[in-house]
Amino acid sequence: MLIDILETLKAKGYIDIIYTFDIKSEIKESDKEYINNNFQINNIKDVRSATFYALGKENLHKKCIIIINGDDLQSTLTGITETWFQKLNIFVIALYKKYDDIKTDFIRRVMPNIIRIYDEDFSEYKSLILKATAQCTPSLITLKYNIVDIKYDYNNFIKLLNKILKKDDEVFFYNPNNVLNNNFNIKSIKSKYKYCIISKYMGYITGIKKKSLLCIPAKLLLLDLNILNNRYINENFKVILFNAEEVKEDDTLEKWIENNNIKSKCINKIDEDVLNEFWNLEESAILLVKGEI
Amino acid sequence: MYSSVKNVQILISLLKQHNIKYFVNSPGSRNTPLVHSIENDPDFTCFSIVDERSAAFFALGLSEALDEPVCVTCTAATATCNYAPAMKEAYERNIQLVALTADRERYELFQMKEQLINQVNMYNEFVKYAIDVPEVKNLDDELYANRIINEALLELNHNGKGPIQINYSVVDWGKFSVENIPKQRVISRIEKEEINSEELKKKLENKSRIIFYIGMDISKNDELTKLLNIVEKQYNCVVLCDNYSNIDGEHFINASVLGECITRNEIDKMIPDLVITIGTVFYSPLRNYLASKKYNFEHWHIAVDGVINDAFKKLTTVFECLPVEFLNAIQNESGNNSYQYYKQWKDRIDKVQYNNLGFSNFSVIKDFCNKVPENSIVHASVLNAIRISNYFGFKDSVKCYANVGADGIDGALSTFIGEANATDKLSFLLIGDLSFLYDLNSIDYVDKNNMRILVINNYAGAEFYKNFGLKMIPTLDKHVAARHHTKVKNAILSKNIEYLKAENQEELNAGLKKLVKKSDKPIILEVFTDANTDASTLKKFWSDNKIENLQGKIKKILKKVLSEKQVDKIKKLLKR
Repeated sequence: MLIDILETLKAKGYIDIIYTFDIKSEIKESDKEYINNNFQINNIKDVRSATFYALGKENLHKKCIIIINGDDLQSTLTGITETWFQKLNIFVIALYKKYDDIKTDFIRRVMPNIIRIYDEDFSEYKSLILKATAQCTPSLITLKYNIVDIKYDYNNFIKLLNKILKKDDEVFFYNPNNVLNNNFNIKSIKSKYKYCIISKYMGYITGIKKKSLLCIPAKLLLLDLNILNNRYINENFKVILFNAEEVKEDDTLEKWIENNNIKSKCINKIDEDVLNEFWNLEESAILLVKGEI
Repeated sequence: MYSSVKNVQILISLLKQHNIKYFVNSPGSRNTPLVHSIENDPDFTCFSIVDERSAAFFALGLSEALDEPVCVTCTAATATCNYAPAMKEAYERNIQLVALTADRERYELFQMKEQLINQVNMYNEFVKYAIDVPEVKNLDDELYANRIINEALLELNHNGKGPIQINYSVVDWGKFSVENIPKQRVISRIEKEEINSEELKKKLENKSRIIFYIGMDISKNDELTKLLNIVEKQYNCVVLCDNYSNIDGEHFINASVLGECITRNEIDKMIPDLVITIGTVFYSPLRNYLASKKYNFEHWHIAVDGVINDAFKKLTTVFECLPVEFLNAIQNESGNNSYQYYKQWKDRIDKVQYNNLGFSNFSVIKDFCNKVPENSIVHASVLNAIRISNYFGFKDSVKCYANVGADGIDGALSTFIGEANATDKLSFLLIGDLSFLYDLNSIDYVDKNNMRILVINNYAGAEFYKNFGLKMIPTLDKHVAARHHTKVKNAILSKNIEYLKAENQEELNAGLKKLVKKSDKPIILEVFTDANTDASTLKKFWSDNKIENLQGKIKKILKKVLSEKQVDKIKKLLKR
């Protein structure tokens, strides 16, 4: 079905595809191959940035299709609102794991064309899409797609944490798989809440007034980079970013962190000594770990 | 110093009184009146984060940690869009986020002016409650802003926690010139478990003029009647109700008729110091008199769902419980009603005279009310059927129903058929011609022998003769009153319905006699009246029963003597 949609849009001159965040890895190989062969590919992690990026391209007459995980639709509202004012026709294709998750009423005021694809017969949808391409307004297509929710295994790391953390200590894990018994409190962050996790964590530690540990894949920092530049980071701020190699090969990320007066260290493997030192540091700190933890 | 912007002041006062202390602010002009007002106020703790999306998530984390509401404030336009991701998460995870979105000149929306997007209820399915606070220019605006802000803040933790949006207009940035902001009326919600019986009793004992105002009550609860009859004897109160409250008691007064007959001078002397309301809708303009801005009394509302019904713009407390639970809590065996206040109402009601009704819908309904036998049920259709039947009442054991909630012309016949099918009691429908014909699709189901229908057919919407009349709109019949020539007789598509008609008092008497008797078939009695006469009879009745003071009497004489234009001129002169 995704190919049918893209084929229809391509025929109307849409030749730019913008992949957001992890969506590229969610696309089926056959779909991906078709896209690679037929479209110009752009990768913009943050959905909000992607909508503005598309707006820029459309200003110069390049018609764009943004492909997003439906969980992230809320972050399109800002850019799509501006696009609506400018009467440009960006297409957003939102992929959903379940039909129940499709909630679009909030965005209808700036996306008058919302095409919800429910069955296998594409012919009816094709005419709706063609009609939408002729209008000067952003359009949304929702599609059920086989999106895999990638879970992370923290169990080895938890064994390590059990040696250091106390009963009342709290650790936030991003999308954990089954977790082992532990001596401390674990809070899970679902993947659908991937945006601005550090902002949220900062609000939390400001409220509880004690340190807690946030443990997320480093790539999520790219959805929340600007929050490091604020006045409320203090010694309670302890963040571990794993799979750091997925983000940057060089040290520019470390520099941005340090420029914001946050202690930063990049390591290849985490052990008890490193963790102990990091946790007991009397200042804000981010530990970048290459690979899994 | 606080902002001079009035709705900002109201907002701040109510946030304080609802114990909301935390703000995460993003920079912008439109929200500066609010931000600068609160940043120096020791009652609030503020944080500053530029990117509104991050700010809202920071606030979400803060709220989660504190388990308290946290406000986020930003300027107008796309700034507000950036709250959407956090609002969704807050909604799904039951976190009390308060999105305070400043808005611009509403009338210029989409008129080529920058930073104007439609912000009203913009988070739609991701908020528990969304309000739009207008620019406050007068007392009406202020009362409205006060009520809706109270409503929104109360919804933060009502039946589960979650986010709300308060969109507020800041047309003019104003000045920071106000040293102290006026304390606003706060509405509190008290749940069943929180009711302090002794405290309530003390408060009630200290009041000398309490009204228990009972509106339409769908519970039809006999226990409510029983308890009201006990409680009314224990405090200085009067119980005001109507047919559709379905309660009765020795000292209960159906004051509906006063809605149109009482004068402002009279009501001035009857103002309560507390009104306790039960039920949903009060079908009487009396409500409007009590809502006057010049009166100052307390209002408590008892509602099982805890909704805000600020009928008199004076609501202070909502008790979220069943009315019987509230009445049980305030039972006070040592209390005693002097009945002074009751007598004031009773004396006024007793002065109402029902003379010169002629043969009109008024007189027909009077006779009908009188004839409906004990233990029946009555359903009334919209407007005059409800209004006039309320002037007379039925026997105590008669239960009354009407679609008073939305008060629409549609569906009275169908509703009645449903009711009559749910009981074997004699069931009466009092209905006008337009309402009957509107719902004609259900005529096939008038098939049970307990069904009795009285249709008053004046071949038009008599309400419009009352509101406008032929003098004001000579073409009234054409579209406004929808005059027709249909007889109900011709619309009955069944031979199993007994049809009766009445065109005069004699035929009416005979018809009513049959209508209230047992029968093998349902019966329809069609009574023909004249719409113009119906309207003038009703208006004359109201006019005759107004007890005017000298000023009122002079006005009445002048109205009779002078033309409408002359009256208008005098009114204008007096206003100057």
